[in-house]
Amino acid sequence: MLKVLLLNMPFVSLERPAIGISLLKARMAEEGLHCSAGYGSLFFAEWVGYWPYEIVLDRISAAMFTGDWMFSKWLFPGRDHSAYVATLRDHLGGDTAEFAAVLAMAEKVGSFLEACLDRFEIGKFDVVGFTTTFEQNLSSLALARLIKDRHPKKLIIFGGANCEGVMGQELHRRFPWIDYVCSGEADNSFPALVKRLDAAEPPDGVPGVIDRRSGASRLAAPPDRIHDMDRLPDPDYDDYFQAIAASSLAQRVRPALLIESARGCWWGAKSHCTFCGLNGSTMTFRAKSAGRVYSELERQSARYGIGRFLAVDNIMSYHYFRDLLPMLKERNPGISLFYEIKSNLKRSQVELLRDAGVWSLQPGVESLSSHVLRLMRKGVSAIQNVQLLRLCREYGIEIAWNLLYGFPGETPEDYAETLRTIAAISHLKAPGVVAPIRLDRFSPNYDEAEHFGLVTVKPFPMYRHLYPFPPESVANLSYFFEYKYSDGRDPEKYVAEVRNQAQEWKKNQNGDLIKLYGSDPELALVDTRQQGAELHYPLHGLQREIYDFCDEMQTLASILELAAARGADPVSVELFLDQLVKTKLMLREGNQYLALAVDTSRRLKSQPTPLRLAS
Amino acid sequence: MKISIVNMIPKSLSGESNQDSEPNLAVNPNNPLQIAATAFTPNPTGGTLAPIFISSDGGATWALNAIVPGATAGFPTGDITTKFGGTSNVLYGGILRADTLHLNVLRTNNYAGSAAMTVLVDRASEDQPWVQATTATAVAGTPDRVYIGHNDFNTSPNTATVEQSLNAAAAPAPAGFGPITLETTSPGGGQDGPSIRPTIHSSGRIYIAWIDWTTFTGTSTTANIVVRRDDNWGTGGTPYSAIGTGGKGVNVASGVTIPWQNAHFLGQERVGSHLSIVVDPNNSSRVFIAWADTPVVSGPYTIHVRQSIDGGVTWGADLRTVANGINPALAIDSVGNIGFLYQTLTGGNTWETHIEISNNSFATPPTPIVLAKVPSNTPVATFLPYLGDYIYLTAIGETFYGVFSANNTPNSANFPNGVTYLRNANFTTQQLLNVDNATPVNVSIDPFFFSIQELTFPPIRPIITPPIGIQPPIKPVIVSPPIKPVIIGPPIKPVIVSPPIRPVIVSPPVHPIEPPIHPIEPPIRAIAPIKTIGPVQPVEPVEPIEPQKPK
Repeated sequence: MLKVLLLNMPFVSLERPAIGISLLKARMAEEGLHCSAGYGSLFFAEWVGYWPYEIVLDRISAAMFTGDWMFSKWLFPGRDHSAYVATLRDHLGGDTAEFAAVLAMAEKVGSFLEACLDRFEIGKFDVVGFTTTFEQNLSSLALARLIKDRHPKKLIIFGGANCEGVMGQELHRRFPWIDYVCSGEADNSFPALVKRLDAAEPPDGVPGVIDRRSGASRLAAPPDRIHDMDRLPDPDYDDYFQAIAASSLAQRVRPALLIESARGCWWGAKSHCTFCGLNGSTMTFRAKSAGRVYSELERQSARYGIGRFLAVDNIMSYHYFRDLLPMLKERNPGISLFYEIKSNLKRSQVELLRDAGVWSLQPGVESLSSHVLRLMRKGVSAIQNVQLLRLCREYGIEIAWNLLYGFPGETPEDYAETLRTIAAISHLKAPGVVAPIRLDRFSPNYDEAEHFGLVTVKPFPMYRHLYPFPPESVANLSYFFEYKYSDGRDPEKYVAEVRNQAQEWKKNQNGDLIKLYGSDPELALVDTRQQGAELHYPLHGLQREIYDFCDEMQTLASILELAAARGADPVSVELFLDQLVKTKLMLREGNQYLALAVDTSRRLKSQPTPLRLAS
Repeated sequence: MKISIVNMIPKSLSGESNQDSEPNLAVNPNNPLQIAATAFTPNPTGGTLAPIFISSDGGATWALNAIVPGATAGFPTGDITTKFGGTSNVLYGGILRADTLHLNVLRTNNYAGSAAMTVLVDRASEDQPWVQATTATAVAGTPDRVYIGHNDFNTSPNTATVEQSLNAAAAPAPAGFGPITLETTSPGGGQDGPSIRPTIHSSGRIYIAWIDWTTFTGTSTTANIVVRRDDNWGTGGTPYSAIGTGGKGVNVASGVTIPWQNAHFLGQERVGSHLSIVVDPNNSSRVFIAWADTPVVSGPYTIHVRQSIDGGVTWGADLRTVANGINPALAIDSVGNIGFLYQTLTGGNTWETHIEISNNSFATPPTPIVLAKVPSNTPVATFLPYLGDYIYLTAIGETFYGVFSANNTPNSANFPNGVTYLRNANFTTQQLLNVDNATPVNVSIDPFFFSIQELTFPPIRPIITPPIGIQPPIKPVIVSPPIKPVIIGPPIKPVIVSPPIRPVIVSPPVHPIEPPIHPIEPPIRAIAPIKTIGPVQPVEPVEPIEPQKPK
């Protein structure tokens, strides 16, 4: 039987296993095939030091492709890298410690690749597979090249997100040491391919496999997709944890587990967000059942002694509000979860997330302008986004979100409106970054660039430092693209103040706007958002009732209906609402109102699951 | 795990070459982005105020803020430590002020403001004030409680003392502060060691450790490492008498030998009194202590770490020992991981600053994380202590924060877990540079801040990538306009006359979770009368609301 090794090369996070190869290992076992997984990423961090490795992951813009560059430098020797190095120096602020460390790290690539041959006992295997996503391409290509040079008979197979569509075909075409590429979901194609190879049969017609039997790189047939997610095995992370345990970096790495409860995007299937290229050709949403997810969480947590899980789903299944989350809340298995999620959540849903142990979310907020959100087909409004920010604050759920701009059709008024909103919500979580949209392969903006008014589309400039190929070939290998606007706009001109204010927001999250309930007044809104000031707004009777009614966004009509039932004069109610909006105690968008003060008592009712290693 | 190490000298002081030793750190538990730090750092503009280092971004950037009274030319301050209250945002300080060497207990409710810290206590004949503070959230009124270990020569030979206040945040001087003598044995050495270290548990259990000098030869002491405990905030008729015979405390170790060497003993550093104690925030009976001693004066000066799991009544054997180690500093994070920071002289010529983090009370020795590894013979010491008689480690949530001083040569090899310099430095030529970013500057001792984030929960995938070259514009910090109540336009005339006008009463908060309401001076008064909505009538207006300053 063929001996198979799957490698996870730099640069990826060290703090979680590679779910792709871990799942393939389990699938191979189901098919009676054996394989091992190796963590070249961890080995490289050992080789060059944790800190230099971390610089590439966390400190340097992904648009620099520094991880890819240093392996390209080895793979394509003799090229002039002075321009890249100069750009890198500028990017890192001059001759800083980081810059010196990255250059020193690049010099160690050759010795690292040589050492990989021994570390992973390459000579013992017949097939070496590489998983490549984002910045793993060149490190994988470099080691694959070295293996092929030293062991010409060993078979090299590539897979992963960088192999999807034309990228996989171009990889196969340009790098002859790759024997096969598994393009798209490889749960079935990879074991099938290995079985054929093991039987010394030609891999004719294995869906999703690119080969060159006819002399050209050719995809036999589109890849199979998994329809029933429950039939997938649990990923086998044993190799990762064995590698961590044996590593000199064991003290530094705090692993979390990955779980894949769904593939595709149910919202994208309905309305593909214009900037999103995450789902490639597999937008169709497929989710594991609640029972399966729960049992997998329990099994993996018990197996690896870790209760922290990161869901790799692009979006959480809405059904989980009905089944999985109540199950987690009720059974309380001591598990904490991260999910990406659509941002149109209600209080009851956020509370359920918290009670179920969902400690961290990446909601698709993206903008504080409803017009811009419509342009990107996000399916939420700005006031819904603000509601989520406030609710997550109340329930102590960590969130990460970004404020994107540069959508064709947006207007300066959209950002004037954004500024007004920012001024009212400085007590809520600030965006991680404010940045222009990136043009990603597989996104509507890329696929229909002209329709969206995007022109002069070409790969990010740094790609040319990675691949010494003709432009069309580099374009085929690329995932990130730059562009111009057909109407010649420069969003930086009208976004500058939003960027400034967001920076201030991030720096000065000292003030607050909170609710304090009592007897007299029944509700005090304590506003310390203005530096140095502490203002109390006492609310009584119907004032308090209206404010609490707007805990979740309400229309003017429904507010007036409530007031009328209490016998209040509608004119005075509208004046009251105007006051709340003017004093930034309430947000108004169109005819909808949302209370902005945070009810800090919510966190106490039940704390999120403590994030403690189970071991 | 994410480690961030920052040389704290701001870019504007790139030309400085002071011996910025003996650092300490205060992280605001109510907002960990707010951090204050101290060292023997002079005020670059002179004057009678010494600076503290302040950061409002979690330690990524630092500035000096001169608010510490008593500075003299060339001598900014004697010993100094600061801590924030638990939720009050108030910063407390304990110093030996430079001009008189008196103990001063200090307070400010705006660590970043320009006003000098208020002096709450001023007393002569004291040494090494060590501040710890919290907010007693389970006590009515949520008062700040502050405990300052210090060596009070006014009560010699029983010098180990705690200065404490049970309501320190708001009251005028002395704000309830007063000394409680801890020592009862009349040490044969004529005093206790300089290090008196309190640690606070939120339940009101306070531990205080000190070094009881039983003999003193001038160059060496024989000592007991003593811990006393109180279970109710140090109150009552006989405070700190919860453990030990007669309530006089428990000896963690007895008859140890501690060299007293105010000379270059380890590298260019002196030794004599190194001690740290910390209680588990989730378990008031789990407490760790670290101290340093040596069997003989010429032997290896060694740090010992021990644990008690019964509230200090009994102590286990050494969990860790570090030869040639100084400046132990302990902290426990919110999930029980113990952090152990120290500095150790290796090879006779290198100061290494290490942190060890254990999730099993050192049952398995953790691999030390090397924060700095720098020459011990350069720069030449200009005074003692060279690096400091202490450094500091604390934890908020699952993040450790610490500070240490070290040689500042910009050499990546000296910082194997990375470093960021705010001051100008060229790591390629390994040269410090002046503010012009060209003129070389001599190597000196600088304070280094670090944070270790145990728990990282990054998004799985980057959604966006900021293009290269587009950086957020740098903008000076905007100083907010003067405090002014928001004025809401003309009152809306009610259709029905409301009940009689009455002043606003700000009720005590029902759920004082975060942040609690604290008075803002001047004394609160109603800005405008507030009208309440009367009983439900056929047509009833909703009244305008107006802001009020709280009482």
